[in-house]
Amino acid sequence: MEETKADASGPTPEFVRLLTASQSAMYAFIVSLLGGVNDANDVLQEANMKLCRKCSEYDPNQPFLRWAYAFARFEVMACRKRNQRSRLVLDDALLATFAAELEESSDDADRRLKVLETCMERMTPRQRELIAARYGRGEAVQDIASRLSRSQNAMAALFYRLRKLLADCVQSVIGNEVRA
Amino acid sequence: MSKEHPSFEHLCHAVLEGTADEVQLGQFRARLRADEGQRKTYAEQAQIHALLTWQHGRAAIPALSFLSPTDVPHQPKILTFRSRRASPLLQAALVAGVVLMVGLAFWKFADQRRTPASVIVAKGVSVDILASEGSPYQVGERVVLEKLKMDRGSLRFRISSGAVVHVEGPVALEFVNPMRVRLLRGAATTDVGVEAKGFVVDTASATVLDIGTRFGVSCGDDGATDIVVLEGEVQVYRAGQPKTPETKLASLYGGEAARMTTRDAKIQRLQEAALHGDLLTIRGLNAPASDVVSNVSDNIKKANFYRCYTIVPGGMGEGAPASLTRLGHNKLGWRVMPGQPFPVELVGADVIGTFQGEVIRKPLSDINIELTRPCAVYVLFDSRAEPPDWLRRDFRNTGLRVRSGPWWPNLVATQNLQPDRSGEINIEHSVWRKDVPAAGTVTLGAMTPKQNVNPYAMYGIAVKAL
Repeated sequence: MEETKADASGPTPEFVRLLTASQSAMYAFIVSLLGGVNDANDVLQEANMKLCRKCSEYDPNQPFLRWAYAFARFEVMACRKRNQRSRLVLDDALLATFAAELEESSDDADRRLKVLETCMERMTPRQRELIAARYGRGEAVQDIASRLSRSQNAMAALFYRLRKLLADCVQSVIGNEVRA
Repeated sequence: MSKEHPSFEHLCHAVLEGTADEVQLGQFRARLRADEGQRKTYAEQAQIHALLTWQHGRAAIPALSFLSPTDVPHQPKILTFRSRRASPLLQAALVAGVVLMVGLAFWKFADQRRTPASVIVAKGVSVDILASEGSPYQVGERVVLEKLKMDRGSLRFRISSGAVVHVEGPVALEFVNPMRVRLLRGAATTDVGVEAKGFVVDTASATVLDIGTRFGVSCGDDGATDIVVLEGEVQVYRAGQPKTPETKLASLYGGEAARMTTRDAKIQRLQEAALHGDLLTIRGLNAPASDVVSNVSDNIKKANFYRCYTIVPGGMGEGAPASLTRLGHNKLGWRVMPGQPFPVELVGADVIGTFQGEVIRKPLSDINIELTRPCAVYVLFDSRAEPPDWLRRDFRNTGLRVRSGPWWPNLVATQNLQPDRSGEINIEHSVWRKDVPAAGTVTLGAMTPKQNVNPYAMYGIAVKAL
């Protein structure tokens, strides 16, 4: 295995590679604990900075992502503390439960994103257009509903089903790979 | 579904979209506590929601180049991990991989200097309105904008970083910071000048880093991104990727254009780009380009070749762009002959800008122009050159003359030319015409036989409906 442990100079190339490859998974972890994408970028930045500072403490024999999740979780807690008056989706007990469950399921983060792209290709053009409108162009769901003359509830349900479809597809593809 | 007992999918969606009220949040938490299956469902939904956001580049991490001098009053403190003396190997590794990390650190510290951590940072950037037509803003007005959405009209504004942006409705963009905007829909032409070198335009499929230039980015409803460089240089990266030499997809220079159909697609040459000739701004992917020309293409097959043909609908006249040029030269325009008016027959035609054969070091081959209706096609041919067979055979010389210029010395095409009284070098072109009775494709040949060296200016093209 390539040497990953950092010296006093800072992160090694391998550490940097691991951290870069973990960005999407860390982002997803943070979004899950925050209950949305608001503040997720800031929390990810904080976690990245802490990880870089503590890079010499990383044991390359341990899964990187699980180690990184611990920092991300801490930064989520810090963010919640800063935003005490804001809307908190999860209470402390639920957050702890979720964090533990997500940390257990940490897999190849980069692979998950690639599989998602494959699953997107399997969607119908209309489904892809909806995803592009919401996530690519940043249109609000109510605006999309209005543009397509659909009710907001119907559109919300549709997006829920699209995410479910993608989640099932990702799970299925990764499951098949593991079995193979 | 009732308000008192909303479905879990409705609650879940409202939470992720940030629209859930306190009552809904309470109901949501209660369901999560009570049901492990619903916890699993929420985790799935949140993960996919986050990964889609990430995948579409909407969670891109800010990079070092974001901050303008006006936004960072003092030099930021150096982070611990940067201040230590790094080995050459480590430095190389950092350059290759984590420009990201440095950017994050810089960003964060700069941000902290601006506002204490406990204070909410005001979002949006300050812009000065320079020109407005049918937009809600007034010329001279200074406004702080976080988002801009216009269905119609046009707007030109200067961001506090110094970048001047021109947009036309329908357009939607977000101001990430004074050195970065995210184009969600429509087209934006940016002139960054010297101050805003490093300005970034994000779209769903690409990140465009400006190296000091004027360029246009257009975002289609299908998620495709067109990038047209009018002057200078830009670098193109995949959306959401850190900007490193390894992740750079292409460097584009003045007169070049490229398209990213999706974030994961291969970058490809964009053969034609529609412009507003007077403003030298791009027309968007969603905006109608030309009523008479539906496509311009050639048969050049060359790696890393991105030169494009420009179309300015109805733009033919004095000063119309003849060619977008490279390496700091002014654009070439069409001009009247001394003491003569611009030929009336040509005025108002769609003008197609070409590029010189020397950019590919051989005479240019066929150019195919797809016409949507009966048209007169004009070829503006260097008067010094012997007209090739295809031109003599298919076109007639109208006897009209125009000039292209200003040219610069030390080119193959201008080596025997002297500046005129105004000190500029211009090249005279004869105007040839062919009437095309129906929609279809017209093919124009090379300037000279393929084995010959070509010391002349490339011909220009104009098209007018009959």
